[in-house]
Amino acid sequence: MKLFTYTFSRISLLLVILISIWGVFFYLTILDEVIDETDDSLANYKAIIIRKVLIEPEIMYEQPGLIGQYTFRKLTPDEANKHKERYYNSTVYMETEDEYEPVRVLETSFRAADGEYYELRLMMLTFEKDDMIRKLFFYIALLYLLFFLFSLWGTRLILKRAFHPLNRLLEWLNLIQPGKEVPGLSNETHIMEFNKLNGAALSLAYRARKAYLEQKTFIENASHELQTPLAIIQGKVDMLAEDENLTEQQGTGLNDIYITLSRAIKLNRSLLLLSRIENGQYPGEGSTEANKVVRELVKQMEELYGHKEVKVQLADKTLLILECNEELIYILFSNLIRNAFIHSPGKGVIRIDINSSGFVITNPGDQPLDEKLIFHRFYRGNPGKENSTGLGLSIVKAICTVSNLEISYNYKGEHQFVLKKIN
Amino acid sequence: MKILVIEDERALRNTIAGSLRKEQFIVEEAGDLIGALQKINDYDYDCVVLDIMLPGGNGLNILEELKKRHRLESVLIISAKDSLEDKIRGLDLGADDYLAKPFHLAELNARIKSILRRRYSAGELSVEIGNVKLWPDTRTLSVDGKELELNRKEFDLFYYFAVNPNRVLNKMTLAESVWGDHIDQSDSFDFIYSQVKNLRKKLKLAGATPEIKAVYGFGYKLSVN
Repeated sequence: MKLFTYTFSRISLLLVILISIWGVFFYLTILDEVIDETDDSLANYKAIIIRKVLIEPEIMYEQPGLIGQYTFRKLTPDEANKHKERYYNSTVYMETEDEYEPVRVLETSFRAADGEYYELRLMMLTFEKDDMIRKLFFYIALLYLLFFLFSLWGTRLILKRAFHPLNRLLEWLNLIQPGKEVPGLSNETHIMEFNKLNGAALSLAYRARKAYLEQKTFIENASHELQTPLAIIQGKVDMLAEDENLTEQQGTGLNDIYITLSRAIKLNRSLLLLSRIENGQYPGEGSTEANKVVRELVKQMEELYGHKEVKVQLADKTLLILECNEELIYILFSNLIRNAFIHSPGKGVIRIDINSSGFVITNPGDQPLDEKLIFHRFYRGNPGKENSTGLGLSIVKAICTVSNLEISYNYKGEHQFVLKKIN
Repeated sequence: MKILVIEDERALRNTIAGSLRKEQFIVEEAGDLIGALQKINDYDYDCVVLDIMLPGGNGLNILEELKKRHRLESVLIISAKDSLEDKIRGLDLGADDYLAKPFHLAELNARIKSILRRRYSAGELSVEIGNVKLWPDTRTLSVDGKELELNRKEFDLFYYFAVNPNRVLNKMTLAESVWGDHIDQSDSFDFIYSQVKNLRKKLKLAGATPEIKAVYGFGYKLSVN
């Protein structure tokens, strides 16, 4: 979830809740106030009528006015004692309208000049009140909606502006690549936190660049330091082998040195290759037709491992074009295909399937390999293979990572490596 | 033929020089940039074997100096760096070939001979060994003037023997010369064994005088009398 979406949605939610609560509260308060006003009017009216009745008792028997209707009823002293003043809502039938209309009623009791107790029932039509409440509700709702929309619009605008430096910083971070110069960062902002973040990101990038360069130099120096002694040993062994008086036993011993030395040389070269791939020192330009490379490699391996009589079933009718460095593609397929040949038992069948989005190679084998460790450096599935550097599949993995490819291993009675393009 | 070996590591320099002297070259040595520049200033060479990383400066300076003076020396760069940029830069500056350390002496020998052959043979780039003559560019070979057909790998193998006559070549060196770097050499011994066997048979049938001999436990040698 985007920070903007998160903040915006939370603020919106908060606004909805707060404004709703406030709206309901406001509506109820106003409603209460209106009823209160009506009751006050009724009480006022009551005082006027009672005062009038005390002076002119005969109006008790006259027809009441149009707006405020009232009735009198005589009470026994007992009833009068228990009688309590109360306000309540009721309806009354209106002949003119031929329907019941809402009224607010006040029931109260008093003692008239003749010493008798009377109950006064006062009614006031409240349809005006309903109308008012309806209007009130409408305007509150309108205000609520407008306020809500404008606050959302305003919040959105403010948040967009506030997060702008952050978005720019993120775009800049995406530009940073190991081994490449740190790109310039122009992200002026008044917000202190973002300014600090800019500074921290920039200094981190420079430190990473420095560490990268130091590491690169170290690897290059290490390689130089190691390659030269290796070259000396190799030269010396070459010279020793020239000795006419070499016995067969010495020759065999020398050969062992030679083989071990070659392994050390190959290991050193593989490590260098790996670090170069990982440092992105192979430009990823050009597109390579994988079918051609695979066909060529299969032909080479068939010659090389001819004595094993391994059969290859190659399905390469569909063209697979890979957009990456040609040399790396060659190393990638060479490692995968060679592995299949080396680890297949004699007279085994290797199946290679090329399609437009990838490559699948399957070879027989009775023991599944650990798919979690198989691409790690120096993992050896088969301890008997002492000549393997344990780096072949790490190199495959590294090439895939820099070339937008994905490699996976599975075992279903046979070893299978699946190479896929990532779009 | 005169060759100047510029390499700061004394042991490696001596080994290279010793190996080249065996091939009847006249070899001189330099261990640093100043010494190398002095030698170049004073003498002419047919080929310069040049290490890039030298005490006192970059070996490519020597290459630049040679080109500035329009000198004709062929240059073979040997470098421990083996980086693409170095290789491209060296070849751009006019080096004839580039060999990454560590290398087999036989490989160095083959590269130098190839460079010199290109320089001195006017048009006909052939190698003669005993009564066998081979043309690396057209990949053809004849014994006593009669063409002998070899498959691609057999030709590569014989070429390697031919530029390293009378030298003991390890099985692994041979495998690398035929297959390149990306091949697991230890798995190719059986292949080398059968290819050498076939090659021997074909040469013998054609009546070639050079003979491939096994050096027990180590490899093979093309002996020419």
